[in-house]
Amino acid sequence: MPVLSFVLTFVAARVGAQASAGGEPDEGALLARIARGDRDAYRTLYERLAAQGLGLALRVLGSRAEAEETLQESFLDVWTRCAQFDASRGTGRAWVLSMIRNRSIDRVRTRGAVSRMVERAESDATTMPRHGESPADALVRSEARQQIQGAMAELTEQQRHAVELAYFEGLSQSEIAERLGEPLGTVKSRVRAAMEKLGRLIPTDRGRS
Amino acid sequence: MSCAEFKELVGAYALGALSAEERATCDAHLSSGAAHEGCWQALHEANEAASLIASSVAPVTPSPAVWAAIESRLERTAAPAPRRRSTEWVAWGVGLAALVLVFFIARDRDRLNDQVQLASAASQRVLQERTACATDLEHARAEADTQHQALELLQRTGTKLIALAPQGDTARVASVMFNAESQRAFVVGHGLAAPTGKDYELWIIRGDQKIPAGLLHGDATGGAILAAIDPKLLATAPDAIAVTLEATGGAPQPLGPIVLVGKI
Repeated sequence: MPVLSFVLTFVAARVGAQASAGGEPDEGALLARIARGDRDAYRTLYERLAAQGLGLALRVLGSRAEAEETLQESFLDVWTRCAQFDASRGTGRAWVLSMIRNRSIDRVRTRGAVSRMVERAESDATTMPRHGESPADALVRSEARQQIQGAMAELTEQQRHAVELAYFEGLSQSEIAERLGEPLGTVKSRVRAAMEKLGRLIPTDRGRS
Repeated sequence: MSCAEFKELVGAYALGALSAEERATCDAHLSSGAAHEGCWQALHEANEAASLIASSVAPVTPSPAVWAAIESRLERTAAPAPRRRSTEWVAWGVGLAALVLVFFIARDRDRLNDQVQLASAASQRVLQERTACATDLEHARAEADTQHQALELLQRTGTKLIALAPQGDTARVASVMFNAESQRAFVVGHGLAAPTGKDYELWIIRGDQKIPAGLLHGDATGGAILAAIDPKLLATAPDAIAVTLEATGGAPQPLGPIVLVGKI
């Protein structure tokens, strides 16, 4: 566990350093510039988060066409609502991803999740370098994701299942309890324990701003 | 909700896994003005933890059509900052329009106030003129009445016309119409414009008695005057009638020089 935390810190710091060492602003700073109408910042933010956002939307929706449409709508939301970003609640990256996630969940709820599973396999698509991203950067990003997946692996199966049902399917704790046939208190404990465990794995330069 | 209770729920809050009621309670707790015991820090970390879950998913590079569509929509969508600016401009515009409106209202109000004051002043002048006209009319009526009475007296049998002899300045001329039977008398004269600070005073003289019979107010041009003598003073026929020049307002006894005098 300490080794994993160290590796996560190292990888995340390296990813973060890529953004800041070359004079590149973090997502929060980009959002501040976007709020002033800076389209270059908007393009930069898109290039930085679009692939992760599409992967997330695809994971929730299961349809690439819907996921891309949701990504498009979410980034338009980012453009129009970036002034609402509150750094005290989380990082810019977390804010953008939560918008993509929420839009995806809304779409699932709208269409009834009938065909959600059809294209889920696409979520395991090969990581591809982003526009303007070097293979080395892509490798680092891939490493970071693998480490994050490793962090998820630190959760118990039950904990991971509970948070994934909440995050990717938009279920409330009551709905999770109902689906799993577990007591609500048990589900609440699992969710809390899982989030606390993930929180401890967040590098300090990401978790506190 | 206490801070400890919030922190119990913050993980599920970040995951969006709370019921609507629980979420509203958490929102209310965050927006309360009370000092928090690490709530914001806990929320920040919970949101980061949630984003870790998002990041555990394999990224998928979007097709170029996605960005093209975003750019296309962006051209038709108001920019965030410009929109905020336009909102600010609208606010500024509304404010400016309000100021202009207030300015014009204030200016019009001032103008209206001026007009009201002018109208009020004009109204005052008209009232004063009306009062002056009424006074003049009253005087004219009194003069006409006096003239009518004088003419009537002049036509009466036994009326005498006695010329008052000027003493010194011969420009002052006056005569007295006197009717002993009716005990009526009028003074007619001209050239009786009194010097500043002076008045001409009429006297009934009976033996050693000098009875004041009123002031003779001639106009500044020295035109003709006609004044009635109080009949009560004529109950007993006077020996003579005289006019003296007295201080303004006259005197109970003659102090100034006699300017006109005539024996009845």
